[in-house]
Amino acid sequence: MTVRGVFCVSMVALSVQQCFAQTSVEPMSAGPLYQQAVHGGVGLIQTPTARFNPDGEFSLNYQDAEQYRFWSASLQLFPWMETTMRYLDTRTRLYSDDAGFSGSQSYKDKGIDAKFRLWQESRYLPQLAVGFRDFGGTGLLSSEYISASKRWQDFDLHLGLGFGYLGRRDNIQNPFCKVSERFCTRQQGFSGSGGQVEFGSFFRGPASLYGGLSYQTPWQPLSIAVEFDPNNYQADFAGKLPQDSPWNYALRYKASDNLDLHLSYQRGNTIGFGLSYRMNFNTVRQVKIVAPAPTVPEVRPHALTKVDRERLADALFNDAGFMINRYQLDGRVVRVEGTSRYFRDQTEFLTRASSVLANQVPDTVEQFQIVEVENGLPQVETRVDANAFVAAATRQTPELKVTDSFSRHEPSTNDRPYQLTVDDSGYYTAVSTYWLQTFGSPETFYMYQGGLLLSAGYNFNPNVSVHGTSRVVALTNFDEFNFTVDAIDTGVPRVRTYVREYVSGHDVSLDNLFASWKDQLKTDWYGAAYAGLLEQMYSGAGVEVLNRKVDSRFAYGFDVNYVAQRDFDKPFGVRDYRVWTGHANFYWQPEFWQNVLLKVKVGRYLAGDHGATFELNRRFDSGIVVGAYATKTNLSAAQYGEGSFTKGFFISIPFDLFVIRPAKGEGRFPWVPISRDGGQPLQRPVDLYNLTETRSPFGR
Amino acid sequence: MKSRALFLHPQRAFYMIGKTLTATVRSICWSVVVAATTYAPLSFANTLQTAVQASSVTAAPPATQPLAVTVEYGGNFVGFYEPPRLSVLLYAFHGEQQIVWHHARLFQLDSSLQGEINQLQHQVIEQLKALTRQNASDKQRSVDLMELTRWLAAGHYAKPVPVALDPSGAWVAPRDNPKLPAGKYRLATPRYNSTVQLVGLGGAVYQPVEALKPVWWLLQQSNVVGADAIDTVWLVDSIKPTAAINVASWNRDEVYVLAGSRIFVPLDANLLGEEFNQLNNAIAALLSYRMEE
Repeated sequence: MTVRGVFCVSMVALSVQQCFAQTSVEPMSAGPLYQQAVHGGVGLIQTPTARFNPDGEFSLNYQDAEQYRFWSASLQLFPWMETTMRYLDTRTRLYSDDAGFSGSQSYKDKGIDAKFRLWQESRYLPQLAVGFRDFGGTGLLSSEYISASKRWQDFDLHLGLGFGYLGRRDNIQNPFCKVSERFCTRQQGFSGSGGQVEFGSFFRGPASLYGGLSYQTPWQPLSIAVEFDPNNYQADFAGKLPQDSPWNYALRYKASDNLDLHLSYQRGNTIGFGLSYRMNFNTVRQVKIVAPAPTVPEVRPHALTKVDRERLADALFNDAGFMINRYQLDGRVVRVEGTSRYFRDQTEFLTRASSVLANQVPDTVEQFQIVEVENGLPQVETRVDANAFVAAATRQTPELKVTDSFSRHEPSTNDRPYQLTVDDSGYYTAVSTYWLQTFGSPETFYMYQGGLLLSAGYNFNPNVSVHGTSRVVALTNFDEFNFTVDAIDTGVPRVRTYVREYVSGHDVSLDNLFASWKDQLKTDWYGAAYAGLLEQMYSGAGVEVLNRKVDSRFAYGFDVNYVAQRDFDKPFGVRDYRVWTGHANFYWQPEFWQNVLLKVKVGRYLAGDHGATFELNRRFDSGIVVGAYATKTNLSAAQYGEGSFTKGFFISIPFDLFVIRPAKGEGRFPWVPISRDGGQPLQRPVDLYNLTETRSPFGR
Repeated sequence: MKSRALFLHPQRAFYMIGKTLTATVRSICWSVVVAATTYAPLSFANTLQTAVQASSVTAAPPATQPLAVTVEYGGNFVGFYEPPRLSVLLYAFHGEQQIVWHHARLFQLDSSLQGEINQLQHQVIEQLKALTRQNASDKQRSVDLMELTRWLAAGHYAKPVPVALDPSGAWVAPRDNPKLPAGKYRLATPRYNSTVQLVGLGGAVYQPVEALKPVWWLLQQSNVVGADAIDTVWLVDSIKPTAAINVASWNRDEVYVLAGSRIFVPLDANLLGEEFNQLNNAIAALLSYRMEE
């Protein structure tokens, strides 16, 4: 057989396979689920392994072992990367020596871990991973490791080399020390104001070999772990801890698909216990109770000569959640413009809307044009080949798909009159709830505030409106603040560290009150302007311009704002601080990195510092988005203060996952380790990239 | 030949007739059955009419009208004058207790893809023959390859209708009830309802399924050639994407499959070499078109 012959076979196989979407062999199983270690992240007991859970696996963990308690959240962010965030509670230490500052609260420390897969396991070679534990912040547990894992039947064997906290047993010479003397010693603590990645300490100082195994018992819910601990606990933060044995043991019981229970015996003298609640961000779903889509008739109503527009509008809203404000029937094309309210699944929305149209417009119509308008901005026009849609919806052949009858375009314009136009102006009101929370405050570990957001506004037309939101506090422990402004003065204007002044002491406050204009300026270009009380801490005015093509992976724009810091108590008062702030904004969904959105903002921040913000968003199949960002400006770490630079994480969860009815929108839960004044952007009330999401949806 | 069932339907009529021996006999039978339509038992027709919620019973078409859809099952035939919905077609087999619907598949024998499928089969056979020649010095290996070649050559292949066959589901869910295009079809069901079919070097073997025994265990129990050197096998289905299942001691998945499944044990990469590195994909593709005898 010649190479050409082989190629022919491949091509034939490929071409035939394409008909049935069988071009690749996908794993049937997502892979085994591994248990969480004490510190969070996949591991044995104290030690991490080279194992990774399936993509999107998320665990909330609690572990308790006498001196220490760990709360952690671990996420398989990518198949090759695991991330963990953790709070450590040290029972033997106080939060501070000043009882007036933190009372009798025990010491809390937060940490971030990351683990990367270097090599996938094969028949003869183990899986390899490199990891960094507690690599920012105070570095109490900071350590690095290289780990190898090899499975044989129901046994999973692990071997690792640890540095830092995982190298304190010092049972082997640091191999990097042979390369350079710099690796022979390790600086303790942290540099500058903390919060920086201590690259200079990586893989330095004493090193330890560690290892262990886990065994899956014949009783499926139960597994056993044994490990050799690389730490001798002679210099722990909790104090010098007695260690009667370097071997740790654990029983791990899978109580349900979502809950794991752990019982461990550590250091030969300490019993520990814990639990992990797990879910997968790719597969998490919510049961829906929703009426089925209208049945599409095989033969469209050919006798229909006139469309009942009111009935059509009602059906589009009731069956497809589509609130139309314009309707046009022109010969062979029917065009409906409106807002999709409920279905976040674009295919389901379009299928339902097309089904309604197929039932209610004459069979002479060959094309449905469904124009989605969000916040007064035309987003995308979906053209539906009516006959192809009906053929697919009624399954005239097994191969037809309704999605093949859809095509997305830039919204078109025409001079023909609309047969139905709904007045876009008018008042509106809304009530929603909010919940603020902070972890690790000196007063008490968990601080919260919850209540109602009462919103009202008036739309003069689709493009111009005024809007206001009032915050009514119902539940809070922010009154336990024992200070409202910290004593740290680095010379940087206090643009965010007055936050406690704004969120405490008022049961009712005015969050924002502003007028805005936004419109599509021309094809692919959008513009917005806004003025008033823009956010909780700033009032002023600004403009934004954005270029975003339909289904393009790239968008860009800029915003310019002039703002003044709001008074703490007077809703319309301002303080002396005023500043110009604005950014050039770039958005990119790389083709080679599916389900990832990168945002880069370059410009001037509220404190007058110049720099850039980099943000990475990962979207999972359920619609959950997890992101991280970091801002570096021309402020030095010393000027910035604790944390050294602005950084944070967030998780955005679609409301649709919480309710049994279809819903759009999402709730965003941020986690900001330390918030200071450098690198702080204005929270603009109008963000054109968010408002034009439908044009090039993230991850779809 | 015995006449088995006849009835009328708003979409015209379908007929089922008894065993036929050859294609010639079949064509004669068609004529006979079509002619017999006029004498179809009315009581049976009424029963079906209710079942399909038909509004009326129409008269049988003239015998000269060609059948739009014919379906063969185990030598029996069902015919329709107009393309039927899947539910109507499946109803014709509602009395066939031995059909395990989960693995039953409908294949179109005269699709436009048939030429390419035949070409794929030809190419796979030719490659296997070339591979056999290349391994002529290893007698046992050659025999195993020839067995696989023979088994693949003896099979019948056609385009599967990409829809699960679920008689109840087709009635209640319109999306699972497509209309079948005009053509000739075969309803294929695995005859190994208590076993899985393992295809690899040496051809196909049938391994009995046991409760709560994963795929790696089934493979260990089988006598598939070279199974102990295999890390991953492929679950091949005519209408679902081919799925990889890890079976080696270092990576095995606790995956269970139903009786009637077809598992391809890929040929070792060292055996295939650079020249034949696409052969496993081609065999898996071919298996997805294979109609079970």
